Amino acid sequence: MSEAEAKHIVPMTELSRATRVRVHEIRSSGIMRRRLQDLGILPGAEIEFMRAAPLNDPIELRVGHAFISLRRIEAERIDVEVLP
Amino acid sequence: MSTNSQQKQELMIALTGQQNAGKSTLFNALTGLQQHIANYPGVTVDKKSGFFRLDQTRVEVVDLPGTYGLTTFSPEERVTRDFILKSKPDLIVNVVDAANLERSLYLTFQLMDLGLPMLLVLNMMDMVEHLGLEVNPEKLEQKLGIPVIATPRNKEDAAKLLHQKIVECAHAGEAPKVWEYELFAPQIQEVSQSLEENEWLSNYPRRWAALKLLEDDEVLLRELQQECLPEYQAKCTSCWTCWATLTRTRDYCEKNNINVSDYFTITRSQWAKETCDVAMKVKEAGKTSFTERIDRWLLNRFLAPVFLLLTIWLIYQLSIVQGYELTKVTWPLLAGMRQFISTLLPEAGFLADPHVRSIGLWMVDSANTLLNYVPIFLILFALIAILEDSGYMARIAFILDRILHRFGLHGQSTLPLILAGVFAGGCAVPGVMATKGIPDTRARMATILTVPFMNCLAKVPLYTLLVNIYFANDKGLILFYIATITVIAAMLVSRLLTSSVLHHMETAPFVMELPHYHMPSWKSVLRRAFDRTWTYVKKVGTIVVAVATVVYVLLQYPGLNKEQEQEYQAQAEAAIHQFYSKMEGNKYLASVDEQAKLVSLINVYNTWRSEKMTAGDPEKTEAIDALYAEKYPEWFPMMSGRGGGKDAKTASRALKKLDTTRKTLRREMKELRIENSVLGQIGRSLEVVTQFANFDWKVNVALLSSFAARESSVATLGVLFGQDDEENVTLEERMGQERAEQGYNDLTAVGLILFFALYPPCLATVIMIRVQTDSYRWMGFSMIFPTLLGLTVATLVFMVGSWLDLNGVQAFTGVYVISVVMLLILGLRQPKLSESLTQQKVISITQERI
Repeated sequence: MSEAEAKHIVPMTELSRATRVRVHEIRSSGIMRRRLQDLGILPGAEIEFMRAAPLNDPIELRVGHAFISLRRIEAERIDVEVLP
Repeated sequence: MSTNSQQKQELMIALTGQQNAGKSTLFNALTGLQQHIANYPGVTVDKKSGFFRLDQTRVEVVDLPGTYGLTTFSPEERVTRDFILKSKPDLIVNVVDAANLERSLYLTFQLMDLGLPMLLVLNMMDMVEHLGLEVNPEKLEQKLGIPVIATPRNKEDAAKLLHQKIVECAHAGEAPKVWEYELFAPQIQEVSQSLEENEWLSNYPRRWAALKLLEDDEVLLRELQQECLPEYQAKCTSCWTCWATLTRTRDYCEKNNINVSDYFTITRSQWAKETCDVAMKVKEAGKTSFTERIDRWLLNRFLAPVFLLLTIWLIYQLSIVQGYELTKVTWPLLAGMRQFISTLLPEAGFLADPHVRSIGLWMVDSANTLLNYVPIFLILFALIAILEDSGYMARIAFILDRILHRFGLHGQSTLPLILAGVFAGGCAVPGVMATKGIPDTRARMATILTVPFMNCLAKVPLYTLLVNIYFANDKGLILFYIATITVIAAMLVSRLLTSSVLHHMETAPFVMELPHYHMPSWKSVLRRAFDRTWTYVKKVGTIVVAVATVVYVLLQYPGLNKEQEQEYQAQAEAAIHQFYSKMEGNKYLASVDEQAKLVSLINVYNTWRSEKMTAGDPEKTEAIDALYAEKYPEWFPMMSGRGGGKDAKTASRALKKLDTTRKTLRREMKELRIENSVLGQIGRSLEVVTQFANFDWKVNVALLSSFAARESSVATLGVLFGQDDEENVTLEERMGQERAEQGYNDLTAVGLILFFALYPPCLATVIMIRVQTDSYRWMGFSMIFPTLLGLTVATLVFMVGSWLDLNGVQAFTGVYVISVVMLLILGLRQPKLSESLTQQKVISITQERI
């Protein structure tokens, strides 16, 4: 807990404005885990939270030079460390 | 596939790549116009193939679906994997988005594991520059251990250079460098050796099969079990070695909390990073991409809906409004074609026409109503292609997913719904076809089943007819209701279906790439517009014409009985007799002294009149008159009543009278024939059910015949309510009048409009549904469910409306308000089930089974 606090680790869905983050852990399994990996959302990867859609869901991420959108329900299982 | 010689003359290559890597563009560049699109068996993924020639070599190019990996999770991945494994192409061409090099290489390494000759094509090099990056193909080639080529800038040269490189690599046939997964290297070695010694799984590349077995790949484990049963382990040493290695690895991984497939993936991602470090340079760091600068506006929380509505309005204006203008130009062409064909067919008789003529004209008319929409579709499909290619379509899905998802649909349902006609005008056939892109099976089915509710172009004539008769004063309001209630109904039905019959279906997480904005190439836009329109013309054309013929037969037979026939014959003869008695002593009598001549005269008379009707301005009318006066010097005075003194006037009057009688008789016979016909009887027997909605047999027949093609409904009503050939306007009056006499009112019209909105898809759509769902059951469902639903709604409207003594506008408003309230209630309530959770359960269960 203290480590998490020190590093400021939160589920991706906690973010609301453009933020650079590092992926800490992916808690989903099966196809979702695989799909995220395929897209480069792997532990350790530096990605950026871009924005939420006008109705708040889904959200948009930047991974490398690609823009990826995910539903909140899926993004909830991605823990990220907020980078300064 | 091809014969082995020193240098193969026939090569087959497979194009693979991730989505949005520009694979289709490359495919088009490679194959030009020589392509063939088919479906893979069992899945709804397009199989595109084409070919090119280079010197003596013929190269078949197969465009595999865009895919991120080679697992068995999605149909695209399965198709790609199976195709490569079964057909063993001479070369795998891996198309890579150079701007996303690192991520693209994940797939590259998976393809390299297959051990087949490969060529990597670096695409989107212009985007690389935009982003301030630099990719070096030579360094990439060295590091990866497979040939690499960047797509040349100059389009003319591009195809040729690529052709040469492809043929060169395919002939060389070099296997790619092996990248070793270090942690499991010994196990991979052991398993592949044991596979080799025993010739197990001999259809697969050995090393790849070993990797997959270690990853617990469902398909391969099952196949291995068939060839080497785990129970034999005790008796058979080689079985024992193989299974023991697998079990040992699994135990080891479990103990150390390692997931083999995760390990492989992470290793590949490290390789990709390593490779990028060598082959890619960042020239300008921190450059904000062009795409991001646009999205700050287009995806802005408050501006996004404005831009979206603007886009939709623009599409509507350009395609539907302007397209209709264009059909005014193209319609005379179609009408001219009809005229021309009618001159080729045998001449009409006085009462009954030869069958060849009737069927011929019926078919031409059915085809024409359809072809009339071609300009609209060309514009619509071109605009949609621009939306797709530019990258905005994906953003529309992003903006709307929240709403659509609440009702069981998907962000990517937007395209099918727009194609099918969200804003009054579209066609469900391309709409259903476009559902292919939706990765979520359940949402896809829901989309397929609700797309036909949209207002296709062919529903419009009936709406217009009914609105003009019953709601002339509230036209705007009712048209607004009609345009929007279909979308509301689609949402509600989708929610109903996804929480009932579709509930058990697989769903997939929503992971969608928002591609970089891209200037669409006009070539690819036009090509897609033409392709989609052509599919519409071809599929719909052939089916509709065929079914129109069947409907024609059902409407004609068994025809009039003997007595009726004789009665009409007698009336006709009386009319003709009357004509001749009026003509007694007339100087023009000589030119019609035989009955055959008289019939010809009447036909010429009618063609002349209809030509004059369509002519428009007086100059053209005069020209037509001059033409006929020259062509038929003896008849023209009789037809026009001019230039022949008193005799001409008398003759003209007699002719007009005769013609009117003939038309009345023909109309009555037509009506009687339909009443007697098979379809008429079916319509009548359906009255048992439809009477509660106040639909009589005439309406039933119109609705039944509209199954072949929506537009037939108005045509059939036209016949049933005695429409004459050139009197389109009167149908509305006639129908209104006749129906009022029979106790029909605007309440019935509301019921009819709602029924028509919910009515089952037309035949062409139904066939497309069969193709897309690969199931006759769903095809049947798509017909039965809407019929029941539509009938229920229409009945409720009529019964409740009559009971409360509502008028049509009140009833429609009531229905509308109720639907909107339901929509809001369902839309604001959170769905109870977390869908991704169920999905994961399904997967872990399938994995446990092995």
